[in-house]
Amino acid sequence: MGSSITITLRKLYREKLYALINVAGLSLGIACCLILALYLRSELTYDQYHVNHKKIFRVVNEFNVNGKVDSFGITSSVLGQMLKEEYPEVQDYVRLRPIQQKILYHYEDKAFYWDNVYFADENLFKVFTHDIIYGDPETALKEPNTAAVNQSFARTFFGDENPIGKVITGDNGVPNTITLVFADLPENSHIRYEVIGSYNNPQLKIPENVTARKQQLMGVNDYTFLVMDENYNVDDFKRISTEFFDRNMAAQGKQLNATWRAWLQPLKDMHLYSDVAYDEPTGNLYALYGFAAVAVFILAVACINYINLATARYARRAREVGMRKILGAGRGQLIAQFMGEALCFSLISLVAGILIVELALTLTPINHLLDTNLALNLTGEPALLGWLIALGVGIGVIAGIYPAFYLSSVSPLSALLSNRKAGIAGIRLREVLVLAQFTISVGVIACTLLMAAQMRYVSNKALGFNKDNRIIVTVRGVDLIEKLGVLKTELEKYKGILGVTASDKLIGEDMPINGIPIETANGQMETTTIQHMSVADDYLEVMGLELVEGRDFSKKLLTDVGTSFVVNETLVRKMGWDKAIGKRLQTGRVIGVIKDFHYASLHTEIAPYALHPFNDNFDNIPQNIRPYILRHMIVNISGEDIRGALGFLEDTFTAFDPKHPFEFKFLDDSLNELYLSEQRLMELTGIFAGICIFIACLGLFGLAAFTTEQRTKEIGIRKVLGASAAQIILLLSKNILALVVIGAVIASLASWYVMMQWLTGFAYHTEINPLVFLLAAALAAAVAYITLALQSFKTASANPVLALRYE
Amino acid sequence: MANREWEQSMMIIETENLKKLYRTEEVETTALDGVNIKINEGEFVSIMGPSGCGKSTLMHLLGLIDNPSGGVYKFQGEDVAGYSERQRAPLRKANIGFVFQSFNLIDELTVFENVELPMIYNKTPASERKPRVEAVLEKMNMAHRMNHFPLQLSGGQQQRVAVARAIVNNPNLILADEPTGNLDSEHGEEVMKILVHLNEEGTTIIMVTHSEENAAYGARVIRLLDGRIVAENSPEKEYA
Repeated sequence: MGSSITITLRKLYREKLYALINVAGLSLGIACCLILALYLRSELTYDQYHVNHKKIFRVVNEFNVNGKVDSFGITSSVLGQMLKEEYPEVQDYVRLRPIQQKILYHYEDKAFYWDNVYFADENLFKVFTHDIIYGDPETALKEPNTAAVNQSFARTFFGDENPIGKVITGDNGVPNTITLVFADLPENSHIRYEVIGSYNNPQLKIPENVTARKQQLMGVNDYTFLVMDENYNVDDFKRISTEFFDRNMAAQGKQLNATWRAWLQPLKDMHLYSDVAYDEPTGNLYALYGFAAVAVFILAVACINYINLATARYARRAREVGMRKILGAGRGQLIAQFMGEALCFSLISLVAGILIVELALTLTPINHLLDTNLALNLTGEPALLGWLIALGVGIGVIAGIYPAFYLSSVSPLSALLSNRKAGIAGIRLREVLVLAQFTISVGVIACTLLMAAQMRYVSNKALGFNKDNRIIVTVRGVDLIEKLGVLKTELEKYKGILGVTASDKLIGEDMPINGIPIETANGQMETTTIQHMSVADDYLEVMGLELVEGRDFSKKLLTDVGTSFVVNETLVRKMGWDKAIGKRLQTGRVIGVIKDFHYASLHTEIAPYALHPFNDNFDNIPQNIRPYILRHMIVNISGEDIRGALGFLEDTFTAFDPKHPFEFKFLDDSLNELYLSEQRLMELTGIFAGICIFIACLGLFGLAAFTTEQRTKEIGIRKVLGASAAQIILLLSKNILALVVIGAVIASLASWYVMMQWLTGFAYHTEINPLVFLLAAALAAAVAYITLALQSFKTASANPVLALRYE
Repeated sequence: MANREWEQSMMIIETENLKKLYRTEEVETTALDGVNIKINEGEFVSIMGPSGCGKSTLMHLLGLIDNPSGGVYKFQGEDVAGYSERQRAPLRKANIGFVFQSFNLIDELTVFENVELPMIYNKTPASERKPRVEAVLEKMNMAHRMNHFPLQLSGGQQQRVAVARAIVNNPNLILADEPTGNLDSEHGEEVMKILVHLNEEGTTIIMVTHSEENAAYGARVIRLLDGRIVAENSPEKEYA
């Protein structure tokens, strides 16, 4: 082994091109593989850092109302307590209530918006594992109006000072005393809370009265975690769920024509194996499979390079191997020597690969694309280092084993014969391997192109409304909402502002879904599930929605509030109405029909939908909730004076609401976020496609060097006989080009299948254009041809005498 | 009978009707066509003949690098004609040293490592290897170039290293295939003197050569033509 290290190093030095190609290919392959492996590890170990993670389960539940089934990641606030009281197997419970909006926190003269704010039970820090920086986790959330904050929060407001005892206030003016600072949660936490308010709040208290409790069971508010036995079989919970429903919910369910069931998710499964509404963003198991496949593919392409180049050098090395045999080397010794060489290469590449990973993670947006925060911490994780060395050795063995057996099979006679036919035996295998490389490359390229086509489709598709130059401003608090009418009038005075309206939900957000009684074509009232949204005056006009029948809501007709609906064509079709105007919905009537528009992302199909005017009666809203009522103001501005309109908007808005920093976004940006994960996947695939074809071409470049060398004499003769440089290059590249074409056909079929699956994630998607495969193949062929031409051009254009003198 | 046994133990190589055919798809070429040779231990035999007469093929067979297509080949009294590479390898390793026209040194290894290689393959302990390599290189007057690589040496120096490598395991037999073919006359003569010296120390030497002058260093010349022995004399007789 020692000697093969020195020999390999000398070879690296003497055959720099060969060494460079091998190390570059393998290290790039290892780097890609490593980054993807770190990502997969992060995704597959979500929430497993909690010491008790095997004992913690989340309750998720499903309501079936009138045949419409919805499952939720959040449950009723009273469920945990009731389960604990009724079932001894439930050892404890913890609730986390998400506040589903940003909160503006104030401390002295500082104010910052903060996301990921929750209420939680006081045992949160006992059940889950946290790094505590300041404070006592036992008592932190015991008192009402106390808050535990993460380190980022503490740093933002208090710098490096210990903030225990400091008082922060939210928008509602309620003071919260900071009692605990915990380290920011790891990236691979499903619920990444940053601020936790105490659940021990009189307003949030669970009613003592049994009937009042039972009534609350039909709502959903909190993530509920149960602490069970470590070996608890989640199937056993079925019995509990059924019993619990029968005992506590059946009576109420009967009235509402509703049933309920709940089941348990192990903590570690929440991120990847959960598909319920009202949950944090989950991971995509299929994308993970895809990434794992890509990692293996890239590594395979890199290993193939090594195998191809090593066996192509057969002719060069046959003499050395034969000589060693004549000098007494056994086959085993030679195999060991070649394996040693391969291991040297793979370990050198491993070191280079690790450097590439370090650079990529710090200098490139790869973490942004993966939406994570990966880091390679070898000193802190000796086990990881062990795995990496195992990876290096594994790659060395995989890449080295065939060349080792192949090269060591040389007969000692080869040392003494100067024929160059020796390399021919390996050609077939090399062709198959090159075919594999280009199949993979063309496949990945085709997938990228198809994803790009879908992304283009998504951004160009007519959505049924106008998304350009629409600015969204969040309006916070009832006080401001009550002034919206005046604000609208003020804003519309500016000539660059074409219209102002508001809605409770934003296009692209989850819309409320309800089963409401709707009049059928034959005049019966029938409960039908629809999605709906409350809107302010001029919504149709500002959003550019097209009215096909009836009228818009009228400012003049106060009676419109609560009694009128504008519905979409899908609802009309579903109900089978001939004439929609005047049909009854709940307590109101249809006054207009609009053309279908995509109120949600193109992943989902347009469903029956209704708009209704805001009910601006806030009398029943408790004082401390008023600041947290939200609306989205939508401002249509002229494209010619965006800067001026925005400036005016900010000034006017700030004058109306000096308490909140002005926040705005463009509607089209916010819509683009709906496809962020696909956009990132496309960019990542694109990067990997590039790397894949680069490594493949690296191998091709090396291979061509050997082929050209072996055919130097033939090239010389052909040139003497009159062949041009172009003809020679074609001669040298036509076999490879044929392989690229075959690879393209195989890859087209495979990527067609894969992309069909991917596209089914969109209710509206582009058709697969066969030209894409042609383009991918042409791209791969062009890159391959350029690579080969670069390599063979020198020989092909050289003076033929040089070639003939070669022998 | 006793006499015959004595004669056999003295004999290092004996072939009877040795044949070698090369077949390609359409053509069958006879490289050796019934060669009978007897070589005693301690002899210095030169093999001569024009290009393509089968000299090198004969060398490969005698050196246990290749198998004959027919006939008998006894190496130190052992019939090895039907041996596989696996069986030939240990015999070769223990008994034969090779010197080639094109030196066949391994470019990635230093002079020292090239000479050491046969001993590594022969599993000689490291402690013994160093002094022996140094001694052999000293003998070849190459000790001062021990840490150089082959490509840093002149042709004559490379061939001296190749000879050092051939003799480092103390073989009974050295097969030299045109050892001076790539050398100028001065260096060629140097190498020939080394071979003569080794022969005087008792090593059997079989040398293929084109050069009558070099052939004259040997005690016996075997002449080949079209795969057959056409003459076998001591050089003195021929020139006489």
